[in-house]
Amino acid sequence: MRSANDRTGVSNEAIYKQGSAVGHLECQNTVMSESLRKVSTMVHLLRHRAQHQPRQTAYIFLQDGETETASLSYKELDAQACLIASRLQREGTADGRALLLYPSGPEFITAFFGCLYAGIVAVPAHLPRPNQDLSRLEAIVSDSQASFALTTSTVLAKLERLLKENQSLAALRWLKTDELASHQGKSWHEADVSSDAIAYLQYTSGSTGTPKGVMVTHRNLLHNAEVIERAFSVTREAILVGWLPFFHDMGLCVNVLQPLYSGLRCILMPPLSFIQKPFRWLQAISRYKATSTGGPNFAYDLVCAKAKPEQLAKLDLSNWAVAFVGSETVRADTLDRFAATFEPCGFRREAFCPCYGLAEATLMVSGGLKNGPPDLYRVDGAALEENRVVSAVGVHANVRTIVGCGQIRLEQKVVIVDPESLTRCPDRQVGEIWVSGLSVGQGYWNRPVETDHTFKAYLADTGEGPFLRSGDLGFLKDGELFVTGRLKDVMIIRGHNHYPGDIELTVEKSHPALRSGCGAAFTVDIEGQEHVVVVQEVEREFLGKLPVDTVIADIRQALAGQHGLYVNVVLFVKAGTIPKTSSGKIQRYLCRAKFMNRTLDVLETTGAALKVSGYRHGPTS
Amino acid sequence: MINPVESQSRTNVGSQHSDAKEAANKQLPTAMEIRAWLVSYLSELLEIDSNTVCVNSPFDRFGLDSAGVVVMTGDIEDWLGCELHPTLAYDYPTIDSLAMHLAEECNAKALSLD
Repeated sequence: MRSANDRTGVSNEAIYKQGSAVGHLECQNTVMSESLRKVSTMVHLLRHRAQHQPRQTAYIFLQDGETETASLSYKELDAQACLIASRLQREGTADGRALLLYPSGPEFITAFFGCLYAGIVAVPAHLPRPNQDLSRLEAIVSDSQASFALTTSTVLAKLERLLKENQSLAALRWLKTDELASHQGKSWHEADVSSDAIAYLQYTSGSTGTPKGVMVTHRNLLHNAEVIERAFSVTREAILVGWLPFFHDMGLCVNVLQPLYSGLRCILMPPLSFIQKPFRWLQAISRYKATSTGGPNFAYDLVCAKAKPEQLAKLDLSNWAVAFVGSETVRADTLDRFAATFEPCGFRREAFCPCYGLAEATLMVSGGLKNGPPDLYRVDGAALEENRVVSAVGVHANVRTIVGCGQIRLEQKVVIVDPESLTRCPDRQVGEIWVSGLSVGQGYWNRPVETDHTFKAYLADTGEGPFLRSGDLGFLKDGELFVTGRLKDVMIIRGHNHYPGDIELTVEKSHPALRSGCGAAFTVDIEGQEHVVVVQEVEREFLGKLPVDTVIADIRQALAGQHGLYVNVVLFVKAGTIPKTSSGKIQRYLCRAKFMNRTLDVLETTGAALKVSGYRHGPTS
Repeated sequence: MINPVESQSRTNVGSQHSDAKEAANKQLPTAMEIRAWLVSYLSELLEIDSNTVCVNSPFDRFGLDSAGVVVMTGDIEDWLGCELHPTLAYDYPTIDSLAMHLAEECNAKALSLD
C-alpha cells in the first residue's frame, strides 16, 4: 500500500524543460512517475504504461451515454495498437498519412495509436452522415495526400455505395481494423520515431472553406498535455468525463491524449448521445463523481435549456472542480445562467475554467483554475472600439463584458500585436494574439505560403519571433488573457473597430420583432465604397406585419447611440434562414456571400440595401 | 438554420408533450398518431402553423439542422418511452418516413419483450 508521500515519484516543483542534445523531453510533473520523466513520444508513454500499469483502465465507454458498453486497459490499448501497426507496416509504407473514419468509441483510439506505433501520420476526420455532402472529406483526403483509410467493417459497408461514386475515396487503401487476427500483432517492430516526428494532422474547422491540416508533433502533444494537466490542477484522484468528438482538437487532446498522459481514466460518451439528451452529461458527472469535464459555450447553454426540475433533484455536482469552457467565445451570461441553475445541485462558480486555444497551438494557450470565480471584466464599449481597454465604471449604457481566459503556462508566450504595424501593443490595448512555445504546431501540411504567413511571424520593431498569428484579437490584464473577437470579422469604420457580435446584440435588442442570436453584421466593398450591412431575422409572428419604418428607425437609433454608427443597409430575412454552424454560430462569411449573390430570403430592406445589392424592390423603401 | 439551444429553450417543448401523452400512452401509438405528434412538435418548436408542416419535406427544409434533429429524437424517446439511436432522423429524414419507422420499431420492441 503506497503512502501519501510516495505517489510514484511526485515532484512538488513542477519544472518542465526541454532536453538538450539528445532532443528528448524531461517532464517533471505532478502526476507522472520518475521513470516516465524521459519520454520522447506518445508511443513510449503508452508502451510504458502498458508495461507498468497493464490492467489499469484507460477509457470507459458509455455507447448510449448511460450504460458502460466497453473499456480499454493500457495493455489492451497497446495490444490493439501493435496489431494495427503491424498491419500498416506490412502494407509497406514507412511514412504516409492515414485517414481515420470512426464513430465515437474505442475503435478510433486504438486506430489512432496504431498509426503512431507504425510511424504513420494519423488524420482524424468526421464520419459523414447519410446524404451529407462529401466535399470536406474529399478536400481533407486530397490535401493530406492520405494513402490509407482506417475504419470498421460496419462503417465501410455503409460507405460502399459512396466509394463507387467517389474516385478520391475509392483510391485509398481501406483497412478494417476490427477484422485483424490477433496473432498478427507480434510482427510489429517499433518505428524509429523522434519527438519531432508528426504524430497527426489536425484539420481546422475553418469557416472559409479550404481545410488546413496543422502538423502536430509528439513534442507538441506531450507539451500541451502537460499544459492542460497544470491548468486543470490534475491530481491522481481526478475523475474525467467527456463527450467531445475525437476529430476535434479539444476532444482529442482533453478526452483522449491528456488522460493517457496523466495516467487517468476517462469516461466517454459519443457527442450525439449528449446532444440527444444533454442531461446525460450531468448524470455521468454525478454518477461517477467526476472532477473534471467541460465543453464549448453552447454545451452549457444546451444543458440549461433542457434541464427539468425533477432531474435536478437527483444530481450531485459537488465534486465537479474543473468545468472548462473553450473552443468558442465564452459568454458571461452563459456562465451566470449555468451557475444559477445548478448551484442547488452543488455546482460551484469557482469550478469554471474558461480557456483559450487553437488547433495551430495543438490546443491550449491559456486557461486554468484560479482562487475564485472567473473574471467577468466590464469595459467601456466606446474605448474598446478604439482598441483601448478601460474599465467601465458605474452604470453605463455602453459596456462590454469580456470573460478572462486564464494564465499562459509552461514557457508559452503570448504577445499582443498591432496587426498593421506588427509591433507590440502597450498594456491595455487590444491587438492580435501571437503565441510561441513548444505547443505551437509545425505549420500546415503541404501549404508553405500559409505556413509562412501564420506560423512564422516576427515583430517588426524587435525582430522577435517566430510567433504563431492566431487571427484572434485580445488583451492581457495582469497576465490573464482576454479575447475580444476574430480579426477578420472586425469592421474598421473611420478608424474605429466594430465587433460584429456587439453590433448584432444591439440590433436585436432594439425591437421585439427581431430574433435573438439571429443577425449578422459585416462590411461589403462596392465600387470602392465600404458599406456596413446588417442582416436580421424577424420573429415568425411578425411575418407580413413588420412595421418596417419603425424597426429601421429603432435599429438606427440604437446603433448611433451605442456605437456611434450609422448603418444604411439593413435587410430583414425570414426566421431560420441566417446561415449557422451546427453549434449555432453565425456564419458571417457565408451570410455575406449570400448577400452578394442575392440568395438571402429577404422580406424587407432599406432603400440603400436595394441600391447596394440589387435585391428586388420590396413593398416599402 | 435552427440553433438547437435557441429553439428548444423557449418552452420545454418535449416535456410538455410527453407529460400530456403519458396517460394515453398505455397503448403503443400508430404511425398516424406519431405523425400527428411530430407535426405538433415541429409546429410548436418552429412557431409555424401546423397546416404548413409538410410531412414529406426533409427536416432541414424546416430549418432544423443536424443537431436539432438529434435533440428531437431525445424528445421523441421521452414520449414514446423507447430508446432511439440519435442518428435516426438522418436515416428517416421526413415526418412521414420517421413516423412509419417508429411505429414499426416500437411495435417490434414490444413484441420481443412479450
